[in-house]
Amino acid sequence: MSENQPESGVSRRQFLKGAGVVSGIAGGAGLGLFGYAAGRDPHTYLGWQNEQGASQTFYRKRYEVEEPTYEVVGPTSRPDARVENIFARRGSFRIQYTRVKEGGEFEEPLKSYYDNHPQDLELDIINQEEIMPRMMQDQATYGDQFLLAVAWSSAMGAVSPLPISGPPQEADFPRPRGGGMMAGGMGMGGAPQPLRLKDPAKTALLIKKLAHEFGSTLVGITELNPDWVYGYPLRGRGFENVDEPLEIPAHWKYAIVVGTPMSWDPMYANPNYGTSNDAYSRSRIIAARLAAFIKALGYPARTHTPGNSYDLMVPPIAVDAGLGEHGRHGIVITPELGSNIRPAIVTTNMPMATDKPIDFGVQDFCRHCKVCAENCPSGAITLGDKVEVRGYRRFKVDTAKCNNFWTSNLGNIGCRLCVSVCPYTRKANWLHRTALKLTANDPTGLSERTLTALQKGMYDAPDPQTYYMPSLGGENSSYREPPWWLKTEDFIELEADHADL
Amino acid sequence: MRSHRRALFAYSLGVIALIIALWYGRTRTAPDLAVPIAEIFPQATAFRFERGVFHVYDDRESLLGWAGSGSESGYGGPMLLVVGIDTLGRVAGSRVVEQRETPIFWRMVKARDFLTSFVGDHFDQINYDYGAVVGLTGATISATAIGASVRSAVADLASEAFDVTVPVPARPFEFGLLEITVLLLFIVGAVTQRARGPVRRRVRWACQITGLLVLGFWRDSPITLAKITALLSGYFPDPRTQVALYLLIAGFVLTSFHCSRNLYCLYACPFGTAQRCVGVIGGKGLKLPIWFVRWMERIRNVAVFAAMFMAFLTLKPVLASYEPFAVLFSLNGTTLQWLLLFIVLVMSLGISTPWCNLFCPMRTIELLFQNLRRTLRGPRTASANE
Amino acid sequence: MQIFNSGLFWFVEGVLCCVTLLGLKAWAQDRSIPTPWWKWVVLVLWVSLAGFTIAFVGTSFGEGESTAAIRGGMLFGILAVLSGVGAWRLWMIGAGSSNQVTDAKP
Repeated sequence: MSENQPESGVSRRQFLKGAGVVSGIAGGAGLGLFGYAAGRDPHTYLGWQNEQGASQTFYRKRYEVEEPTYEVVGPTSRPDARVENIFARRGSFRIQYTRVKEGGEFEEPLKSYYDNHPQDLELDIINQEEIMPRMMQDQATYGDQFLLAVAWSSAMGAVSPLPISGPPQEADFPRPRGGGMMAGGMGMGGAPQPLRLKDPAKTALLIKKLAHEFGSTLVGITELNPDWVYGYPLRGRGFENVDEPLEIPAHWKYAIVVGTPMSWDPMYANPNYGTSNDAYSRSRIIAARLAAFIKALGYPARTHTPGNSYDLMVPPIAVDAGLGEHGRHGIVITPELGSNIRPAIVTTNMPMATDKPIDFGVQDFCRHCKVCAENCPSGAITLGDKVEVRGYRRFKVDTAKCNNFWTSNLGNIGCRLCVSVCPYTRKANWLHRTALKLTANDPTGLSERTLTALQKGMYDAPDPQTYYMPSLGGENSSYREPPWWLKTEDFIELEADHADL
Repeated sequence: MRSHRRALFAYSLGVIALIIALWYGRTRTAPDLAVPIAEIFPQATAFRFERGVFHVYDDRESLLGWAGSGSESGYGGPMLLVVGIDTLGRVAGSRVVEQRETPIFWRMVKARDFLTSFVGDHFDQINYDYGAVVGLTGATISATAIGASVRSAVADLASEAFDVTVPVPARPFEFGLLEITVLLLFIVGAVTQRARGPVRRRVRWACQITGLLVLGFWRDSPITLAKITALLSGYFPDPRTQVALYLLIAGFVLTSFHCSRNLYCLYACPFGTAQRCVGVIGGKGLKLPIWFVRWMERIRNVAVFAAMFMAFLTLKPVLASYEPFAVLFSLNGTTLQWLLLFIVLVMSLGISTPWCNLFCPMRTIELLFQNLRRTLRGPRTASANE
Repeated sequence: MQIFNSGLFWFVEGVLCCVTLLGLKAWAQDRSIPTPWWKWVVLVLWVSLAGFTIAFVGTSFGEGESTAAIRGGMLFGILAVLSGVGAWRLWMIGAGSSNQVTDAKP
């Protein structure tokens, strides 16, 4: 019929068909543009919306479980941070090693630890004798290109709350009234009495709102499991004798976990351009403000903050508080930020309703995925199964190997590659949110396997050995391009440029 | 008849050129072991090579230890490792001198971790089980080869330096579902290929789908040019762990001689099946003009020749791997191979099995065999051929 | 770029989608191709896959993951093309004899 139309114009039907074709093309193009915009959208880098709590979007209620997703398999015990915390151990090691080299012996507890873990002694010596001196040398040879990254890192670390100055019995409690409101005292003389709170559930809501208000991306509350508290206190935490066992104070009843992500673009440019200082600083400040708020209500509060100012292990507490699950790389994987979270903790006895742990499929995912282990240049992340650690079954990271790699790096030294490559550490756009929902709700495990295969097949990554310094046989590669604002050579005349003039 | 002779001549020339390339590749100077040995023994200043083992001395000519090499075939060819042991029999260190694996494999296996795991151990306490040490479940060809290379180096060292025989445990033949499937496919193919009509058609479909699922998506183990090139270069992967590979190649070669079309391509090849399945979606397949197929045949032959030539010259069989099979079956491959897969599958919609007819290196090898057969037996009649 | 986060964008997409479907219906009627409900289901499924492919490529480029965009585009692209041809053949079932594949019978 349309063929018989006179030449005066296009028939309605023909117009409809033509419009259909045009609309189809336009609609497809629109989807492509939508995708491009979604990919570039800076808002999908979570973290900036903090003050309204708008980043904690995952509907946790649906995934709540009674027991956390790590397993208890034997008699449990507390960690001895003096030897098991890599920073504490290497600190003591450095102090004692010069004497040991002259024929002396390590003091306890290092001595018996090294007797039982000869590989860790070897790795600690390698770190001291080979890696640190080489790093100094390499900084001088190739370090210039990271000047902006270093400057940015020190800027981020420039603001820090006052360190804790006394043991928990003193430092955690609100100060006696002396300077009116200035000192945080609420009563008239003597230490302020705890205010009577109406309802623990309401208090929990209030604390969470304030945590967001102070800038925290995620927040959760749990009762503190004593197994996570160090057996001995760390240096610099206000304890007089760090070799006296840490008796857990009764007022460390609850733990409030807060956390913020590291700045996303530098994080993806690991290991060379990132810093942890940005998120460290934010989380420290949030925790300090939260503690001050709680003290102002008359309750004791103590912060446990990054880099190394803790009396406890943070990841399992974050798991207990329902922030996420423990991953293969030893980091808490959260639904919103993936592995890109730097948590801090406030312990208190202010009565609050607690959160439940969540299970959104991470245990199964990590069992099969192994992207972090395959991309880890140091070999610290296991390709194998979970092992028993102090009565708990979990993936164990070799922190000595890990630290040996990241102290060999330039610029801000450090490494967050396992964070960058983790399939959960992705932008919060339609694509990755859909993938998250799929794996969280699929009991067959099929979607995990498919998505892992797609991740490994489609997404590029340098060979892990190339992340090393040129002096160690690598190429100093980054996982992703650094952001434009950290490319030193684009802003600063380096010596190599002078030579050309 | 004349074109047949011309083809044979061209094939012979190609084969001769390849043999020369292989000879050149294999006679190039052996890798220098002095550097890795000096890395293992930093005080070393002099070596003496005796009965297959390096004796390592310092500047006062006192013996520091011994170093020996071990070599086993991985996926991409042999890897060469050097192991040093000190005068007390403890492992002083080990280095990878040469390896021909893809970077992806090297990433997977963490050779560095394995090689450092036994430094300082006495040589009779080494754990050669690569998978157990690194924590890799499901050992691959190359992972097993690293452990075996270290073992063979240590065996040499132990017998030369300490007069101790390191026992080499017998590895059993691996004969599982994959191997049974391969055998069955060939047997069923041989039995039914002379049958006519719908029975043969249905049996062939059933075999091919089995091949697609087992040889393709489950185990990703089709014959590739890289595997053939590795064998021709003299790198024989352990027949005990690679039964299926040898079965497939044996089946391919035998039936290339005995049947008009080899049974691997007709009944087993997973990629051929994938194209046929796509062809079913596309409907009636276009028949390509014969002149076009002929031309493509020439181009393909040259491409296969060039790939093998480079692989032989550099002794890196993985260089000959241009097939996009692994992209389809395990999403592994370069972006170029992804593109090739895309093009081939889209072509399969309208053309019946374009990869097999236009690009597949196995077709070149099959044609070579057919040419040989014709020369040996004289041409068959056309009717027997189809 | 803000436009793509707005409801207006999806409203326009919906309008375009409707117009396309109307055009398709007119085309099918002109060619006297029957359009039972299941053909529309097939169509919707295919459009979802094709739309996903396009949006995936766009998003990956936007994220700076160009390798993922290219490889993903080819992977999902293959699926879209193959299922597209399959969907086309399903759609043409019962088409008038003028466009019919004449050699359907042996």
